[in-house]
Amino acid sequence: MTSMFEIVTRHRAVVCVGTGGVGKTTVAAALGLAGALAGRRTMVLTIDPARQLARALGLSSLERGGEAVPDEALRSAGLSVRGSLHAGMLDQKGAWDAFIVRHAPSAEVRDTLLSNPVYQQVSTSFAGSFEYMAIEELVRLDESGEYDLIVIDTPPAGAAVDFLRAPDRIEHLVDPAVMSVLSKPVRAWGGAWGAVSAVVHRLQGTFGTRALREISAFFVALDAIFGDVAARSERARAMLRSDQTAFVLVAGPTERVLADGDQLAATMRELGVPLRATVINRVHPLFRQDFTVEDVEPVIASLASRGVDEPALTWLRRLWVTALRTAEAERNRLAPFAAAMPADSAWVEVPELDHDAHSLDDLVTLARLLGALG
Amino acid sequence: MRSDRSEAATFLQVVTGKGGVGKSTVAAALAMAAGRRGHRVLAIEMGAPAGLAGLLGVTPTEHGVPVDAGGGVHLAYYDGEAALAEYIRRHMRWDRVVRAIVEHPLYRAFVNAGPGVREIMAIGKVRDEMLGLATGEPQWGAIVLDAGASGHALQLLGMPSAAAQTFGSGLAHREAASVAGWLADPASTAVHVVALPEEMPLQEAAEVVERLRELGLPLGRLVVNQCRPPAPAGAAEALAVIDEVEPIRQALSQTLRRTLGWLELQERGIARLEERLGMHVERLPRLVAPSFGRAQVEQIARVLTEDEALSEGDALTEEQA
Repeated sequence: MTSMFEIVTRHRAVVCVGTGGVGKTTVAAALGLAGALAGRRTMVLTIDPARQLARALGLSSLERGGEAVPDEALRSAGLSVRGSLHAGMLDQKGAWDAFIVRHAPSAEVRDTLLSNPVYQQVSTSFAGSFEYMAIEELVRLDESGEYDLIVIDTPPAGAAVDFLRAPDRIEHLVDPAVMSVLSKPVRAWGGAWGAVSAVVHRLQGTFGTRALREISAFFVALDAIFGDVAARSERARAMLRSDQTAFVLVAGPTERVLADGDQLAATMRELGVPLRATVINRVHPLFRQDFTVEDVEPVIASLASRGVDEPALTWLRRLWVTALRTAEAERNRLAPFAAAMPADSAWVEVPELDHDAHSLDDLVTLARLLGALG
Repeated sequence: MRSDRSEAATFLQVVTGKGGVGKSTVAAALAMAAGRRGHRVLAIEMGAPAGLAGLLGVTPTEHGVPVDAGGGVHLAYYDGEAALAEYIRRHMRWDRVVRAIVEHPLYRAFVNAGPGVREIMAIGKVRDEMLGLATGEPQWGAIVLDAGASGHALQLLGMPSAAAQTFGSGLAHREAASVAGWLADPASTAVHVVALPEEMPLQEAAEVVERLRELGLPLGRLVVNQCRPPAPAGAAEALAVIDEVEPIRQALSQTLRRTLGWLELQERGIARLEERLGMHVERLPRLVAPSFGRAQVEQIARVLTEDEALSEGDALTEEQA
């Protein structure tokens, strides 16, 4: 059975997947810290970091390119890090622009594309765009040779499954059969197929000639970098499927999150990509304990004799009942979910802490609770 | 084309917020509340059936086709691509031509690349429903749209205005400009923002409200979900005098400390939000139940319509659980 420590010490990439609002970013940061503490040169790439988390890592903000968490910050938290910890933020628009700058064959193509209004819309809005960029960044960081471990937080998509399908979606956009027509200027579209001129006509009537020209210019420029997109997609797919890449599902004990988690796990099974660990974040502290409603009565009585007033005692009793019921509901919900996970994967329950993680100390605590410290 | 705004008998409520805050719950509750007031209500999810379907207990199987969820509420899901095909079908007479267009790889690539085409078509369809364009007269007294997580929702709501500028001329421009105008009119639209009493959701809610103001979109209610009712004064005292000498006391003490801690974060966070935005927050209770379904949504609906006060939430919790 794998442990989280094995996951951060034996893989090149750890990808945290899961729905929004479960604490994925914080878990990713904690795993990254664990990797650094274990002696690895680690980069944590986050999507949606709290300002406080950035500050906790000793950074004024999380830069696109990634910044080293300063040694002083780590030392003052009493940590002696044998490796190193870098942290960065994925900014979708910036990442796409950088991709174009890297892969455009000429300054003209680059500038045409960057200033094209269709590009500006498309790069941030088509399905899978953000996910694709996250994977592309992962591949780039891997190829740089600067890191032993890259921990990546994924976009909080409702369907986290988009992440795995992103490279295929990108290629659909640049389908060669279509590209060969689209990348010619608009006036040349009509000649290719009989039906196309009718289509162009309708499109012109509906969307306006100017928009159509911009779309054509977009595809002409895109065609120039098409070869690279295909090659990068291939590299991205290889990385996602490599056994050097570990997927960690971050979920929570609430119904909706588990339903999303179920769906994601099923899709991963379908695609043949194994989940190496499941983290159930923010479970109720009474989750694994065996108390009853009545157990609290002697304590209530003793508090009464210590002078605690009646309204407080009633409130406290009700709080206890609610807490037990919450814990019970969580247990019942999680049992079937756990049973569906791969037998050799890690299963970690992290109790709800009394505040959001916002310091290095908090991240160390979380890393310990995750079982990621050696 | 008839003037749309003044004749819109229907009111559109849009619900958005950070992922995981309970948008679908609030959207379902608003829909049920409107239904209880006697309106014929259309609840809409963007994209495939998800949260709303689960909460209302019905699953629509076809894009744009509402199913009866009871209580005057009907649920549909809107898929932008399907809406576009529908739109083209409505505006072009020959089926053969329509089919040739919609199945053509060029068209498909265009739909995927065209700036927000799917979003405009989806939101345009919502507007059409409001005006009863398909049937000749408005069918719905109210429409509640679960617009999804804030990033996407802002894009959806801002798209018609952006597209009107991108599409220089033609049908799409006119459509986009018309929808943009109607979305911006407080007489026909309200955008509600949902949060949780935690740092990140409250922060994001503030940013969304500010962005909506920038976009000139009409703000509705600011709702914080899963709020705890205040603790009595004696609770802090109790914490001070519990001797954690045995597991039961430790467990009770831990539970109490956590709750008081979350209450403090809740009050501080909400106060900060109200001050930053100059808005009053509406609170919805945390409900504990083995399964969160229709009964719980109805309870939330009663709180939203002020038929119930927040502080009774816990008492009702015991009945439910």
